[in-house]
Amino acid sequence: MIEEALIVGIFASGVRMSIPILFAALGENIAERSGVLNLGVEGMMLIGAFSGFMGTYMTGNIVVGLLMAMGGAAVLSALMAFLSVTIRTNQLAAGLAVWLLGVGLAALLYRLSFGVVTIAPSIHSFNPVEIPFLSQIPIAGPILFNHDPMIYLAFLLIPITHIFLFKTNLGLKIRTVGENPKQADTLGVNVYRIRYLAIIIGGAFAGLGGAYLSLAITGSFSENITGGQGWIALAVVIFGRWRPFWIVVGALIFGMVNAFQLGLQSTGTTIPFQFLLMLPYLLPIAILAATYKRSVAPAALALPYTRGER
Amino acid sequence: MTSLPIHNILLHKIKPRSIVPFLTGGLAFVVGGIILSSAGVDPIHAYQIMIKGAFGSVRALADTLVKTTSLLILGLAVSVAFKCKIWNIGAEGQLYFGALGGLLAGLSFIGAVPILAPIAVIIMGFVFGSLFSMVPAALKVKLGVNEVIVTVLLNFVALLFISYLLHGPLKAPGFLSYSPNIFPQSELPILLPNTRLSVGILIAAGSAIGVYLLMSKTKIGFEIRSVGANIKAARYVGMNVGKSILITMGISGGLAGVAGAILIAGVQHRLIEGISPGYGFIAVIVALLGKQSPVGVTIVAFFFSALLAGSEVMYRTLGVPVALAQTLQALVLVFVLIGELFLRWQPKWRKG
Amino acid sequence: MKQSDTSPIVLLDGITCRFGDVVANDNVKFDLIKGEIHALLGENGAGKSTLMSVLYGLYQPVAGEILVKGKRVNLKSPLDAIELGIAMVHQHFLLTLPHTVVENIIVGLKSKRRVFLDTRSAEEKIMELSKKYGLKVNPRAIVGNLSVGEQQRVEILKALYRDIDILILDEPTSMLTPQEEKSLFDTLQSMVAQGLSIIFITHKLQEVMAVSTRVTVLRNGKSLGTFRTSDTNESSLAQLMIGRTIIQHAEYSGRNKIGKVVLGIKNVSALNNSKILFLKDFSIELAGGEVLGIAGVDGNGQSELAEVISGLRKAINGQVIMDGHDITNQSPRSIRGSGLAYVPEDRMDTGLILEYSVAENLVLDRYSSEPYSGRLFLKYSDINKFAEKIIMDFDIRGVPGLNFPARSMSGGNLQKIVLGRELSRNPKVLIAHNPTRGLDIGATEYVHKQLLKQAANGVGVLLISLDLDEIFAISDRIAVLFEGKIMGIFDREHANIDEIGLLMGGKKDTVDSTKVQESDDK
Repeated sequence: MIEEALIVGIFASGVRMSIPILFAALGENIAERSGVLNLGVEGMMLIGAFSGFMGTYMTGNIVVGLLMAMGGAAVLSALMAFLSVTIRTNQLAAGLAVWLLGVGLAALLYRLSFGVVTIAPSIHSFNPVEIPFLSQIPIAGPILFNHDPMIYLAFLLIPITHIFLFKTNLGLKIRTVGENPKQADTLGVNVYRIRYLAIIIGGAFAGLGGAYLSLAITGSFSENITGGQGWIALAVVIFGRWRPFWIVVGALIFGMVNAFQLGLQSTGTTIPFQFLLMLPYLLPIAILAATYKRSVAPAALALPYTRGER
Repeated sequence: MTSLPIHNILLHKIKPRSIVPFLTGGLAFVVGGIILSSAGVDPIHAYQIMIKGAFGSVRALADTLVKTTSLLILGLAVSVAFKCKIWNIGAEGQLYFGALGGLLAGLSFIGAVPILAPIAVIIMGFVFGSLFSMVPAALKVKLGVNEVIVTVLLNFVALLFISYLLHGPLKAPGFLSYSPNIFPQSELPILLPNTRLSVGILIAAGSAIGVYLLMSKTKIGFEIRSVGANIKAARYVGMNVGKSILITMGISGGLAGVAGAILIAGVQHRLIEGISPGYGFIAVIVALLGKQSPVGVTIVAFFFSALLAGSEVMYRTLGVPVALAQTLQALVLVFVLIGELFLRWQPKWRKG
Repeated sequence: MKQSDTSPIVLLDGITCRFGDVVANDNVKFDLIKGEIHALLGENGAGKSTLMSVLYGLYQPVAGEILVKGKRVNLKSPLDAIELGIAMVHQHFLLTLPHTVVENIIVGLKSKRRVFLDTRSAEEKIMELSKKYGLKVNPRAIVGNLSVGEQQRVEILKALYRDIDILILDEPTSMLTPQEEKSLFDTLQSMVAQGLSIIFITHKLQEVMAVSTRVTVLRNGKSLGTFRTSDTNESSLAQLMIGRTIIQHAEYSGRNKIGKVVLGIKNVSALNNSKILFLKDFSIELAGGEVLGIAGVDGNGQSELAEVISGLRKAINGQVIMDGHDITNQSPRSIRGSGLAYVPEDRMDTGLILEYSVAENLVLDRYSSEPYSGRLFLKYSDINKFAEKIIMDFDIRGVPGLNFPARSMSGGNLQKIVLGRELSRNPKVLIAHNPTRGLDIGATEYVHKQLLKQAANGVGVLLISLDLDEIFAISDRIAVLFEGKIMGIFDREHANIDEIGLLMGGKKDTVDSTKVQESDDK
């Protein structure tokens, strides 16, 4: 039936649209679990989008693009780590600086590489890969199992990040550093190194999220390609109470709302499209307002750590 | 550390605190130069053009000052919020709402009344900007929601709303999504003929003085600073913290709105999408670098405006993307933040 | 002369530590013999914690050497110390409350399952240690739900789990009831019997005499010598520790006449920050001219009580009546206006704004009224005049200048700023919460004098303190707070420190009821 196809299409689209935020939020969760609030996520996504695009454009190989996306974002997050952990400057200021640097650099490097062109350079984006058997399941099949490989990667990341944080030694170290860095320090955990690691991992994830935008969703790069999704990812981490499962739920909600409002636009509704486009931004605000009082952040979040500080 | 005569002069006569930011900020230009040369542009040549484009002629200087008008008021707006430890990253959206308010005043019958009209435009700019900032303020006070994410997201909402208006109810006849022009009586008088430098710069200067007086000499300023310095102590001595937050955001959003209104009444004379090329975000850097002192904000705002003006000329002459300016601004902030490390160690040097 | 092996297991020789200008340890020598409990005694700021932090690898000394088990070592981090068998239990526990006991103990250690956590074998090992040393604990419990005593056991297990031989305890009894203290001392004895060596940092003379074999006294960063505990006594130790003969607190001499009730708290209940009921149906009355001391172990509702009275915390039940007016749940501003002054527990965090000048801090509560401001503007000349008067009246020293932040001033002088501001309000009721915490003897005496002066002027003084000596020194009546309720109230003459200690620990039935005034019927 046509209606079923439309609904399935919207949900499938919703899954796709949740992916950039999913990557970014899962990554930011790791950083925040170690006690660092990284406001620069948006900048890292942009650098990832640009680097991923450039890498793929120049070599024709998507894997190279993805690696460059992770690498570029990791470099920017290393700067964030340097400012937050070594310089111990105010993390909010550092994050804002890194964000704006990412925005500027991505735009600058793109323009320097391509100049002013009327037709934006583009690449061939991913081909969907159907998973045999699973994609035949009515309704759920096309929604979940007929996507490009990066989505499957994102699916895998969900249990991986959960296991990483809660079942490994390194994960326990990260969580302890984020709750009580002095405790970790006195037990011989290198707080600085753990935070660097967590921030860079988080940044690499954000880079992947950005790369998904340029490589899978649009096939090209533009300065506003992220459109605030890095910030929405920050809200999703809070909504998800710093647990991977709920973070994914939050990302999916966002993706669905986005797909829904796009679908609504295409059906020729009378609501001006700008209001529909507002939904993805108003929703996180509403959710924050509703859930904020009950959120329990990692105790050391956004507090710089100095050994021996009195 | 032995005190050589030079060390004495450097450490005791010139305050290191004020010099270090300039030194470290200068490193940003080194990085910018590296990026330029890797793109095949001679950095020295490019920077020369940039300087000329910012200061090299009366017209250039006027352009710099026009931009300073916006950046200074916005920088003040953001720094007032920062003084209360409120992270208002929504100045861009508040600017647009203020522009909307100014536009409506300029299109209304008051907009045709000489002398009153520009005043009304500015006031409505303040009011609209202030009202829009009440959203994150109320969320913060009533529900404890952190304002960083909310203010950022509201920027997008504001821009979309303005876009809707300009494509719809406020659209002037024609192909483009602009608003109609405001009445000529609403326009701010131009100070320098053949430029866009209007009375706005005086309003900006007045705002700087006003903010200075407010923060350091008034009761309200004392409360705002107290809440920002130590909210626990402020509550303990009985200050109404919620009220202070609302007032602070009201002033912050209002000032941003004034900046928007000045763009309407002084520069564009109508509302267009993109009337602000991200001034509200640059203002965040300005406020952070200006250390919340009106003097500091003024200096940084002027300097960054020069950067913007110069980069526009660089683009026209050399094709260097304007995004270089934004990158440089962010780099300056990054390097200054790094430089703070040395400032924190400075007292140890002094004791020698 | 002992025949047993007395070569020290730890030797700190010539240790000097500097932080900026402050010399925290000055050429200190310290040694630890295997199997002993060695007390490190000194006042606040004497350098005890610093010295032990050196041994634990948290700080590097600028001079001196460290020998552990006969070998010279260079401890660059706690990891090095742990590898040598040294562990430290801090005064303020270093625990992650949302995590389980196991997670708190094993973080940072390699596990047999390589990358993955091995909680099962960790639990087994914890249970073994638990039995061996008599430290009962449930490995799967969430640490945030445990009592203070249980949390301390987790801290100790954290150390024992790492196969250590040398355990450093930093002020371990500061948060314990007398009964939990005894339990701890028993544990220490059994640890020593199993071959451990223990260093015990404290400022309490009684503990030194009760449990240690030797004691080293530190004062102002210098060591004044090491003694066998059996060769010394409390007063000689005290003299060394303080440097002069203790001025015995003036024997309680009765007080001026006590007036009518100025503060009545009736059946007040309140929640703490974690939404747990912390004040339970609490009732008490305070009369003008008396000092009412509220004794109790930290965390039994003291802060909540002070905050409810001053309007900083909501009372979900009950009434607070000051001088006949119902001030329950009013705003802090209006309660202060009705005559309350409040010296908070945390002078730097709550009582003052350190970036402000002394003058600005002194008018924090009155800046918006005449003569300190007009309708819009502050009147700095009047503010400064007021400040100068208070600085003189209260002998505030080290003022850095009219426009400089107060941050650099000493703890005692900072507290004088708070006192100067609060006491110059001519209040009817004064709440003083841990007013002498962290202050040296001179500053402490000054504060007590001021509090007594207020009482002499008819002010009702509510002294909430963790320091029993302080309570006994100046209170007219002493009430004991435990788990949000009053366990008993005593007149000072009839107050007995052992009974009070028991009440602080929650034991109600051993108290002789004839000596206790029940609190609720006035």
